[in-house]
Amino acid sequence: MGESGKDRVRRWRPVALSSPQAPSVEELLRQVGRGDQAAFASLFDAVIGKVLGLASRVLRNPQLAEEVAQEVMVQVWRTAARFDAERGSGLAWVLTLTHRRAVDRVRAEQALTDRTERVAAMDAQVPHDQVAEAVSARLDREQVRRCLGRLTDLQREAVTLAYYEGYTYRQVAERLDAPLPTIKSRMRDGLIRMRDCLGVTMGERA
Amino acid sequence: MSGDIHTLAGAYALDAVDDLERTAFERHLAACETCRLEVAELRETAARLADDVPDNAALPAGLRERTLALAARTPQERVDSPTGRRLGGWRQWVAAAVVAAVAAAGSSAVTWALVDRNQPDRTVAEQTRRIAEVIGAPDARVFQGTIDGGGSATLVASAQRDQAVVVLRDLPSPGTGRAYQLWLIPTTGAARQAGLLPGGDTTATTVVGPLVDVQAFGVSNEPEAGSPAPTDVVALLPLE
Repeated sequence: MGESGKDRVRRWRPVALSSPQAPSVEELLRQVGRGDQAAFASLFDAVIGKVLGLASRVLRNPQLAEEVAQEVMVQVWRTAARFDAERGSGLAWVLTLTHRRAVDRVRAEQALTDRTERVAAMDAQVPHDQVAEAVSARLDREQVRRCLGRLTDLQREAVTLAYYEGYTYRQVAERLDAPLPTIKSRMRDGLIRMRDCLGVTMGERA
Repeated sequence: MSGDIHTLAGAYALDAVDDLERTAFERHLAACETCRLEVAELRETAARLADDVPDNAALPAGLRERTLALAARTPQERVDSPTGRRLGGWRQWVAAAVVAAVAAAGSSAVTWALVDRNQPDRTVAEQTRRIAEVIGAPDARVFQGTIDGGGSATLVASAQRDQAVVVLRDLPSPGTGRAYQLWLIPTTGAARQAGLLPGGDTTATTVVGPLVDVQAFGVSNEPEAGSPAPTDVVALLPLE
């Protein structure tokens, strides 16, 4: 290695180890798990729109959605070290926490009838800013809709009532007037069909 | 019984179970690895349903400041051995990558055909054993980087074993008469060559070491016969 250190340094061409764009949610979560508050601020900015959107969808109440969003983000801060990239994406992890907290709140409030009345008022306030959405987000949404469209009616109703409305499978069975085991099965085989349609797999993440 | 509880997988992934059922199902999951994989996939799928919900474009006033301030005074949970736990998954991933590399090559001899000038007779079986030892080491850490022009470099390093497993995937073609060469870069002094891929190869799995005083791992594009020092570096992975 007959070169001087100086030559060598000049010829090295280091590559950016993270993408030149914003760091991924997974990377931010790893940094947050080590107590990095700046990373937490970036993570907040990266996911808060989706967290609020999902909480609003399930709760139908902007005030409750905001409370849940704040709780979820503090929970993310507190438990980020538990995030395991092998179990799924970072955004899915945050949204799973969001959904769980939102449905817990719905059930605690026992506000199912109340929520139905609020639907119209709330929908008018949500800015459906399609234009501002990234193209990829639109494609993701279209893919979800297309895949939902491939479910049987009962599968789709069971999955969407549970996810978007926060119903338990017992409540779904009552609403759809179907036997409990049937609803349990439709939720599972419906999700499995969605999984295959969306191409969700574990362990492929590089 | 266990088959019956597992029919709750979909409802569980959708948070459509009550607390008792959730507890029972999580006990079931703890004892069933394939169930955990299925549920992880169904959870990921369920989270995709949020894609069909509009983002909340308008951030409520003060939410960001309040949340950041609240987090700043909230202590964080520590996972018992966060590194080990996370690496459990990474070890699996790298092991899978190794298996995939062998399978893709058809003949494992091709996959392992890194030119190791110090120990030219190393057999596939021994190489596989060394890889398993490094990946399985309790102190193994994973580093990842991208390659100029595409592809990825993953490195699993164990200070205890003083070795690292390197997995290079989908590199761009190095060009006619050229090959990729691996380097270990010490904190002081010149880069040490750590392996030379056969000319034109774009995928490799191998073991490099020793790691004492090494601060980075590098990949360079060199003439087929290799170079005494790196000339065209395509990836540099700091090991810290």
